[in-house]
Amino acid sequence: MAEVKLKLQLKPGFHVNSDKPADDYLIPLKLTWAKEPLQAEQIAYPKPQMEKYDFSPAPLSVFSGSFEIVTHFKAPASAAPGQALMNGKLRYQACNNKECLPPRNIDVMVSVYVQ
Amino acid sequence: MSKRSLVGWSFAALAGVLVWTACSYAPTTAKAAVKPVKDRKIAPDFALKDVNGQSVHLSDYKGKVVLLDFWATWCGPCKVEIPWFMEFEQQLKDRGFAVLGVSMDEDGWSTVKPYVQQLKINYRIVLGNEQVGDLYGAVDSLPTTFLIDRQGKIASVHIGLSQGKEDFRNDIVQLLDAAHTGMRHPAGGALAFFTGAK
Repeated sequence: MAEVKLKLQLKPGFHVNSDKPADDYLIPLKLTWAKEPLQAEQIAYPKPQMEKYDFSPAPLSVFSGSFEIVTHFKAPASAAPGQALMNGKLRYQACNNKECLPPRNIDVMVSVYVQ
Repeated sequence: MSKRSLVGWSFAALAGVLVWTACSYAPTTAKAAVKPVKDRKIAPDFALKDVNGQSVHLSDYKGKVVLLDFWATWCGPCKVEIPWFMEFEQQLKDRGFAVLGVSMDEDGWSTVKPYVQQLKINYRIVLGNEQVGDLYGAVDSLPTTFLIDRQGKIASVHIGLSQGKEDFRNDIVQLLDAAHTGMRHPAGGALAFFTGAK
């Protein structure tokens, strides 16, 4: 097993919905990984903040500032020894107090050595 | 079953510390004034589909004042303004006003239709796309709302949650009233004037 931390930082004034937003229409923060060469056993998001904005009657479950998403990987027995790349995607949708930007996908890549 | 161990982790250039740049973004929630007639540009025409699959063109609304609202179901600030627009549609439609909502939801009608029904939106909604967004100056932030005069020209643009409902209403009424204060020359060169009629 190995642990990978994806460090993220948002510009001041912006937030993204957490991985579990309260409203079904809100787009959650979501990190996904390819199925090989390693297996992502657990993806741990930080504890969200509950914040109120001009446009929300109720507080929203969000991340802002700097935070980390931690993935625990396992190498299956079938994993070939040597250098390998793990590809992932991070989906997010950001707003500030007055407006929202479209949802985006970012490619994420981790270089690993399997022995 | 042998287990593999993982050694020598490192992040490639795209991972590690990610900084959301939104680098072209600049906060623009200042009040949008109605432009003088001479400064208004033609609102680009488009053909988009409504929930019944019918093609809707902006040119269908020629002669009306149109509030063209780019929005999405995932946009919280948009949800604040929609009830305002519903009120305007109901109160001002008989004066030649119409609201047209352009949803920028990538998931399409499967997401938008239940949302429209839930909020009981009383004005026409069409599904937008990147091309229409580009026609209107690369619409990125939502909500982005255009007020279009009876001649099909863009009179104002509101980006982000507006200061308040009455800002919109005042601009709309100004454009509705403008039609009553002058008329273009009809063929033959005669002039006709209407003053202050409401």
